[in-house]
Amino acid sequence: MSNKLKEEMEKITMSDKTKESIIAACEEAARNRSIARNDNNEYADHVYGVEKVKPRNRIMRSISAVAACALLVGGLGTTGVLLHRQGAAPSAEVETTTVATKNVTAISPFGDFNTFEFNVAVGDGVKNTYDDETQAKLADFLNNFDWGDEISDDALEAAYDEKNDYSDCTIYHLSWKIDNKIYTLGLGDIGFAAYNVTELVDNGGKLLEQRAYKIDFEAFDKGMQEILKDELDTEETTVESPFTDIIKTAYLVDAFDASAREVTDEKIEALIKTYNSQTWIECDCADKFVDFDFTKLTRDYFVVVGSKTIGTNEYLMTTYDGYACVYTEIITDDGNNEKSEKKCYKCDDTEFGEKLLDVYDPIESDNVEPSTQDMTDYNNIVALLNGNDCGGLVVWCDENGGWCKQDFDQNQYDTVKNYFNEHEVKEMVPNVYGVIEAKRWNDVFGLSQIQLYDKVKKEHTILYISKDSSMIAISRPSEEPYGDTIRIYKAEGLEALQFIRNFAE
Amino acid sequence: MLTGDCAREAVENYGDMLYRICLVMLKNSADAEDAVQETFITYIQKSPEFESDGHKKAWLITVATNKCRDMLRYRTRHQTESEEAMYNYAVEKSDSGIIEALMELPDKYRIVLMLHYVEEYKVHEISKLIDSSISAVKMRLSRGRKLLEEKYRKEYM
Repeated sequence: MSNKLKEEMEKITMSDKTKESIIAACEEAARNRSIARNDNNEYADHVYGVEKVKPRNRIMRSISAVAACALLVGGLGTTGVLLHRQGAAPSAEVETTTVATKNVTAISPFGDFNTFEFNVAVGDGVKNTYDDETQAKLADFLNNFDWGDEISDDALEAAYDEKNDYSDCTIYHLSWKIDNKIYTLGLGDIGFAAYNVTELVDNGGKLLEQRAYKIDFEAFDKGMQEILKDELDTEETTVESPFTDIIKTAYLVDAFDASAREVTDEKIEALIKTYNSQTWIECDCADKFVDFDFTKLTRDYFVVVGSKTIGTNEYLMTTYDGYACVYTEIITDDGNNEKSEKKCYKCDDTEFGEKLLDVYDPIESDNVEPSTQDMTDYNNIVALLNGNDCGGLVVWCDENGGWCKQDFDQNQYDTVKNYFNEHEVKEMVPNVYGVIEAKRWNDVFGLSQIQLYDKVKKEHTILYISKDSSMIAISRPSEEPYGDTIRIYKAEGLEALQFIRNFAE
Repeated sequence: MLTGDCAREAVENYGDMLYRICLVMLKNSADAEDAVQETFITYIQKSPEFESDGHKKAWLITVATNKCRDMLRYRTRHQTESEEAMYNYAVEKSDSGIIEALMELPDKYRIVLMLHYVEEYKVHEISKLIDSSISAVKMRLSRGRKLLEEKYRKEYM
């Protein structure tokens, strides 16, 4: 499939016309840049640049996002309530004059916020205005904040280039309207403030002014959070997840690759916090879970096993897509296991597993780098088949709905041996097929398997061949406690080993 | 500073590759062309020096993905642009449907799958290119491949 993806993707190219257009734009940029460098005029710095060459400048449009918001405000009508001063709002230019003459109240480079009916949007939230007292605090803070130095387009662009992931970017949007002009101020954790003035015209908005300042965003954020604390606190009440008690008693933390993780206080704390970050709703989804089994070769779940008392295990199993299930297992005096009913929950985050992965260690079995793949398992099989320690081969299968076991005859033994002597695996691929016996695994590999027994080491190696003969899965006892490891490799010629399925027919 | 000839050479050598990456990230051919153009303009303006062609390619990919992120961010913030224009699915159709299946995956999987399976970057290289941890890249590759396979087999086979 990956080859097909590459093949199809490489068919996609830009047209020659587009390429020529890009080359022309680059040449124009090079020419403008050259002019700007040769010209000693200070204003020349603003001559070159992407905006000049190309009207659809996304960088500048990004920092102008607040201008867009402002247009929206203009269209919908501002409903701000702050009016500490009655009467007509003076323009920013007038306010600048005011600060020079009165020199009493600090005023921002954008004017006196006490005079603006400004909205505040925090993060991706909606625009808000607050009660008079809060709004006044915000205005004072904004007026007195150190807005730093104005920065050039280049510096702003460089700041963008350095920032790669905007997903967690917390942005404050402030906007206000005076007459037919929209004033907007956007602040991001990238550490800049972008100010725009847009005039409302018949067919939309016309950008009149654009400035950017390098700011201490942390200080800004802290100041804003302090003022908006009450508003924000109501939304951040932490609710304990139903799993806290189990996690607190955890002695095993495990994940898909069957590698038991070290359980530390930090990990327990992080797990509790991660589960608390979601709202868990009880659901009727026990069928998504099979009992956690220490002997399974691979697992579908993130697992936490806790124990409050001797002989009692409490299990928390969580799927990558945000389902969780708990149950208790009690080992009775006569050695039997009694399990409580499973109680299952779900959260809205369908990629909750990503958050858990930040707490769990990286999943080594998902190593997909061919250059560093571990071929030890494969090489061990070849050595075992060619040596004198192999205790023969048997095949297990369940294709007819029941398990069967059959020893290989000499021809079959030789077929397997020849295959491994004549073929090499290509690359290791991630195990995305879930637990053995799971539907996905069955669809791809089935359950027919070849077992090799090492008489010296007294251990089994189990081989599964994919039904399409493209992959071989090798299961070996793990050095980690509680399980085996399974590695899957691409290989050719596996058709020769498909005879194992015939045992079931 | 780089000249127009350098631009031509860069566009010829890397234009299609960057276009594919931008297309996968933006799911819109017009925006992808914009992003590629801005990437090359940045290249001309900054005139960086590279240790090798590989270094140059990686730099261009990083800049292009940043441009795409700017655009995606812009789409999110810029509420006045019409939804239709923003998410216009103007992508070339593939014979097998695998590109359509890829395009239906969440953003974070698309770019990682593209860089690994099409551009053949290794996990640690991708982690540098997109500034994510190695474990996150591994996981996205794993999950992305799984999702792609499911989507592809379910809807296009």
